[in-house]
Amino acid sequence: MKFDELLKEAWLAESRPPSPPQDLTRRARRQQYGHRLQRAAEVALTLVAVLLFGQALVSERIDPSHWLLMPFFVVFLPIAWAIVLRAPRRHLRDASERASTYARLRLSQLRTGLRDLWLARATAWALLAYALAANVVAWLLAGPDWHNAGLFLLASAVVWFGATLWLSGRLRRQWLREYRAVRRLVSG
Amino acid sequence: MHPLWPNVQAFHPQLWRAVCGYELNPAVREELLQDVLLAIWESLPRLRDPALLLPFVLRIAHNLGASHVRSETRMPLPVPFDENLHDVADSGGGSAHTQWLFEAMTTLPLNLRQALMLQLEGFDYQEIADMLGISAENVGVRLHRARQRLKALSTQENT
Repeated sequence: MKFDELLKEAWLAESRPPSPPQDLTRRARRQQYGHRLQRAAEVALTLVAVLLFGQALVSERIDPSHWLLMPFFVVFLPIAWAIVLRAPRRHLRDASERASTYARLRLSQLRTGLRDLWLARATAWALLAYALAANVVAWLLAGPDWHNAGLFLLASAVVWFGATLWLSGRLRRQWLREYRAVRRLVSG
Repeated sequence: MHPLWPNVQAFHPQLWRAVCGYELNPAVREELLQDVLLAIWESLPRLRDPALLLPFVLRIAHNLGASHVRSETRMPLPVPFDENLHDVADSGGGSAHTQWLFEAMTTLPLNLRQALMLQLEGFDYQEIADMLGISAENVGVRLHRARQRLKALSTQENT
């Protein structure tokens, strides 16, 4: 038998092992709920920040924790929203395009995603640096109220920094891998 | 439910083979197939000509497969093509040659692999060119290179 025929025969011999039927409607709904939940969490976080600082500003009762946390949110919220609103999301429907079109689209989405990850890391570093500097100043020059607020700010910044680095590292590896694979497809 | 959805189910064997060309882990294969089916489910309203359903669903499978591709390619198991052994099945149900083929396939660059998988599925040069968005000549070149690589791999293991 010729090599080509052997290949074809081997190819057609592959069959799917028996598996329980999957409910696609439920899977699609779960995916939609996931997206909505993510968006709702972002909106809730923004509202909490706006209410917290809005109320403090209106009532003119701004304590040290407000002062120290305000720059944190002033940097965090615009960056987070810029990423959320600007990011071209991956839609499964895009996969019905021709391979070359899909590859270009995916490359552009991945480039934007990688840029946003860089921005998120840079922001996390900036916030950590700010928290450290604010603590140094608070502990050297201010009273106990400022010390507690400073520690709270530092703890938030460290948690945020760790979470950003963990998530960004995970996504970056995955996206870079896909980027390299898809780029080869376009250039080939 | 889209009226063409029952027809998609008839193409599960072709979709499964496409998925197997990108992933070797059986559990991940199943997961990838579910993603492909979900993408087809969402994309079916975009299909203009129902006669082109198979190329349409395979295009989705190959696009998602290309995005899914693993970081490393493994060298295939040393089971070269041998006509005398070709019909001997292994204990897992599929033939050893099928396993070799899919292992060997993962060592091919994506652009060669996609063209080869579509040809093995029975599409001609022009159909493959339309699905991949390249010229028929380019398809010929890719198929030639893919076969050469697989042959070299097979010969290497025979010696």
